Amino acid sequence: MDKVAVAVTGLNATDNPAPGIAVIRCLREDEELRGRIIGLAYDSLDTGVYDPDLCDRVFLIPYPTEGGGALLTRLKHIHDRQEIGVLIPTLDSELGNFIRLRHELEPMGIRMLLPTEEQLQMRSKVKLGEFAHAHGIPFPLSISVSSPEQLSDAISQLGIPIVIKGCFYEAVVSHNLEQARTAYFSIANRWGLPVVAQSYMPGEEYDICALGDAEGKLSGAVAMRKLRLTEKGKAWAGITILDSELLELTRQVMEGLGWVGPSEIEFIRSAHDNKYHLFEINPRFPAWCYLTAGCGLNLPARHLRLALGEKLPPSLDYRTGTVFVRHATDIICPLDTLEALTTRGEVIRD
Amino acid sequence: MTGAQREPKLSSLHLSDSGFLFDPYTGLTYGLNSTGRVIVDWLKQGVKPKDIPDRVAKEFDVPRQTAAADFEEFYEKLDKENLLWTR
Repeated sequence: MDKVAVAVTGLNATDNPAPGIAVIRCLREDEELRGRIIGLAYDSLDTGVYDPDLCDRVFLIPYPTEGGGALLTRLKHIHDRQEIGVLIPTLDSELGNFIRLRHELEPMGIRMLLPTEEQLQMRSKVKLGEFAHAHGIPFPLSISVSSPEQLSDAISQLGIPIVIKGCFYEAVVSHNLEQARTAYFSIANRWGLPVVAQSYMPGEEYDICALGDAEGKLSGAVAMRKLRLTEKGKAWAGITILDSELLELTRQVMEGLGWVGPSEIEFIRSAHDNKYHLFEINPRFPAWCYLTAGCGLNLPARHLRLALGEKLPPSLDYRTGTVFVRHATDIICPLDTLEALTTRGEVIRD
Repeated sequence: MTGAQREPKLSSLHLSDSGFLFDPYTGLTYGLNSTGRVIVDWLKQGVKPKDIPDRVAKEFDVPRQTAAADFEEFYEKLDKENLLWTR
């Protein structure tokens, strides 16, 4: 592999970890990767900045709300200081900016494997039901809600319990009208309107880390059953599984969207009908994607190779029964990392 | 939508010497006692269910009728847990 520097975003691993650290750990496992790893951090206290084994260099970038212009200016500056060959965004909220900047960044030599804005919209929480319906993929009944009155109507149609979901993040299971209204206002304030009201579906949760190639074909996927969840419903432990039906559904979803790049596809196996129901599609690697390296199908490394133009045959070849358990720990670090980031906005380790 | 078909699953199950059983389709795990482990091992090897009671009676020195009744109950449990077929 060329000595290409890879920039990765999403370095803050709290109890709801951003995926960047797992992506970097996967890239580090690829013995042919010889280029630098460049961390792109939003905050000088993003946790991954302080692990000396992760990033060779770290640069602060502006928050997504500052827009594509500010991001482009900063990336040009960083690219002057450190040439970037491939950039892997890992956060939902930043993806729109990177997609819109694609035509500016590619001529600079910064390659990315990203879906289009239309594809990004199609898998949004508000539109996903339409997509699933059009492709015959089971999906929980969902109603887009933009007012308290519409919420009451949705509860009348969908019943209780009901799931209230933000258009970007967050989902709350509500067991009565009051809880649903509280969740609606809280989520709308945080993430904006519309909010999605969805019928509650008890069952086992399954997650797939999937990767689409440049032609929108499924290049690889790893399926995982969640073994332990945080209070926010995030996987804290999981185990790889291989169910051909689940992976075929994954292929249908990815190729139905024509998806280019990484995604996390979530299914629930309903306790009522024992069928898989599509639940959510996140447009990036999941935070648990280090499991893909652990089970023998390193999808971030594959992503890098595809971004560099390598032709790889699709693969679903991985070890089932591989377990991950997340483990929170403390890093002790010298003051100069914090100093470098807050004063110069960058850390150079090499 | 996929046209999912019932397929035999036993050969795909991971069974350890300690009786730890892992279903790679669902990610569920089970603990089997020594008799259960031996029976699942036989089934994985392709021994027909109708031949199991005789084998159990001989291997564990129990009356054939008892072995047949216990095996029937155990086999039903395997089926109920979706360990025999993919659906």
